[in-house]
Amino acid sequence: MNPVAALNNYLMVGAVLFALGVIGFLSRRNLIIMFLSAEMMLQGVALNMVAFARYRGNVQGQAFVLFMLTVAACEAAIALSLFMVLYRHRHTLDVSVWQELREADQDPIVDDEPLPPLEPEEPLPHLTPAGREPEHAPS
Amino acid sequence: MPNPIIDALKNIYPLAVPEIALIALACLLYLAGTWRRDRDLWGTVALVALASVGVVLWYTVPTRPPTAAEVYAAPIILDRLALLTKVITLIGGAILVIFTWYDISDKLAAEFYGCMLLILAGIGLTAMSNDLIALFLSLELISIPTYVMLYIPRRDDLGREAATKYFLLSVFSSGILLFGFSYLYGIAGSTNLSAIMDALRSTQGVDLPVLVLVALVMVVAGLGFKITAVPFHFYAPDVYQGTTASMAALLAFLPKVAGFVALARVLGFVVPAGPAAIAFGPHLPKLLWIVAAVTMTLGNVLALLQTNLKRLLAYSSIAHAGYMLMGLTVAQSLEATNSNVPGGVEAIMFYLVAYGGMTIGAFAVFSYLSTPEREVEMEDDLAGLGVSHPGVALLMTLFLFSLIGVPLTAGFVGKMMLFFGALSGKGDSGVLFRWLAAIMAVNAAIGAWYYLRIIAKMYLHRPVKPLPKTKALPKLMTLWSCALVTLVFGIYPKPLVDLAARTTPRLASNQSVAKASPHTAINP
Repeated sequence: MNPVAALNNYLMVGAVLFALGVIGFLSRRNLIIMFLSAEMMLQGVALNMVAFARYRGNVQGQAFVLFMLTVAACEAAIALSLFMVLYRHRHTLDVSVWQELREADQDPIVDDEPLPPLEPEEPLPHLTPAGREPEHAPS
Repeated sequence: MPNPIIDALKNIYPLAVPEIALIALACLLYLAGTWRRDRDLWGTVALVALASVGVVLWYTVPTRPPTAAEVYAAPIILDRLALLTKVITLIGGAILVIFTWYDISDKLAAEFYGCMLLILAGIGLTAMSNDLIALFLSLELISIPTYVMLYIPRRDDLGREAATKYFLLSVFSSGILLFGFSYLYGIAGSTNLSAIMDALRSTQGVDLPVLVLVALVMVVAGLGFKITAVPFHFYAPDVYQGTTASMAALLAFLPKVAGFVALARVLGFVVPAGPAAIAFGPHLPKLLWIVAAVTMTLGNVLALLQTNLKRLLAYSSIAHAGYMLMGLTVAQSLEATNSNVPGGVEAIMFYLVAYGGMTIGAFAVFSYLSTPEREVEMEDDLAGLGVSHPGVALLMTLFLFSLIGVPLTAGFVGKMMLFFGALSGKGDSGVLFRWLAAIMAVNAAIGAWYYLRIIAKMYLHRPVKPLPKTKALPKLMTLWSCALVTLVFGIYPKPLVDLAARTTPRLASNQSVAKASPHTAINP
């Protein structure tokens, strides 16, 4: 295959990944899936960069991808810690429960098709405290 | 035989000494914060750090223009724009450190001030960027500490929601920005900004490939988040409302500085390889024209409807971003016609200083009057301020006058520069620029209405519930320094105007920076 055609294929896949990420970010409501969609946008960009680097015959694009992935990892760390705090307070990852901040005369968005209520979580197993020999029948 | 590129790469470290020092001090603060939890100690350390970095900055000023090898190989370049940006952010950062003094607990003070130093280092690096990778990394060095700082001072449901909103939209916008960067790299085959501008310029006369247009739109959209330009302005009112007044002031000022400087760099208004804004052809002014007109109109009209003070200032900050975008819109035309009117990037630099003074000042007034029991949130809270707190009311009036653009305030001088810059834009789209100036005039009139409404509340209404007397020295110091900036540059703007004018090669008295490029012959 000639290089331009190959480059076009990669760019198309990159653009599709990016577009899927944008659509996912804008349409999903789960915090983690929203963040993963944003990550998918970055993967589309990474594919673009690597394809261009190959086509241009230099490594700057690949270096860019390495830096990009590092930054994405930092962002993932912050995202997960932030989402965990949110989960602890509302016990759901749905973004639509967080809408106190809005225009004064705007009504909150009410969910027409709410998710089925979650099954109650199983209680954590009760473990024997460590450091002391458990009671057991004499052998 | 010495390799000029290796030498160029070796020479960049001395340029970044202030930023390296700031990052090292931030790491030290994170570590030392585990040893002692003391707000006064770490706040003082941060202030001393900023002061000493300011002294170091003085010694990093390069004595010679960059060589061609440095322009085309080095990831960072220290020119006048970068220097001015660093000075502005260091002073602004010091004011913000003082402003946030009482808003954070002893427990998290070290982390908070560490993040602040990282953000300031990030802005310095953004201003110096000469490479897409360096630009992206320094922009993220601003964003990531901001997420943490948004979470630290206010830890209730509103604060959490604001931090999440800012975080998610920021990640989204940086994805869009990166997509634009990937196409820019692909078009030029290099991540060096000067090389990209040269590659774009070589297509002059030929139709630009579609990729360039996509890249242009994506880059403007991605950086539009930082400067709260439409359509990435949605977060501003919500986030400002949900966080403390001091953090709202920080968000209104520091990311805007970074965003505008990054736009000036990546769109080729100020690159070391000579004036290069022509690279993007006639599409760039048209795109920026639309964004500027929509941003300022939407910001002002929606601000009219607000009763919450922080939301009102958020929409006003969107409107002011629109005014500043005017400068970028006409910069290319001013450059092409070699006009002597300072209405492009230099006007934006002046406006950023003026805007920082008046907005941080206005937020400081809210913060100064608030107590833990009673926060100043709504416009009615300010009623009767002229009687109960005459001094603060006077300062607030000064800041609001500057936001309106009343003569003898810095806001007036900034608006004048942008307005006359747009009026003197020539070329094919000269009529469009004059229309933009007219839109700005109409918008300034709309804006005056809601600022004057607050002044009327303060002086003509009776207090609903009188505000308590507060004494917070750091907040007072913030108020006075912002008032000083607003008044001094309003009455005697010449030094700052001259400094700003020398950031662009067009107005610089010595064209030494531009001489490094073989391409200056484009505009004789």
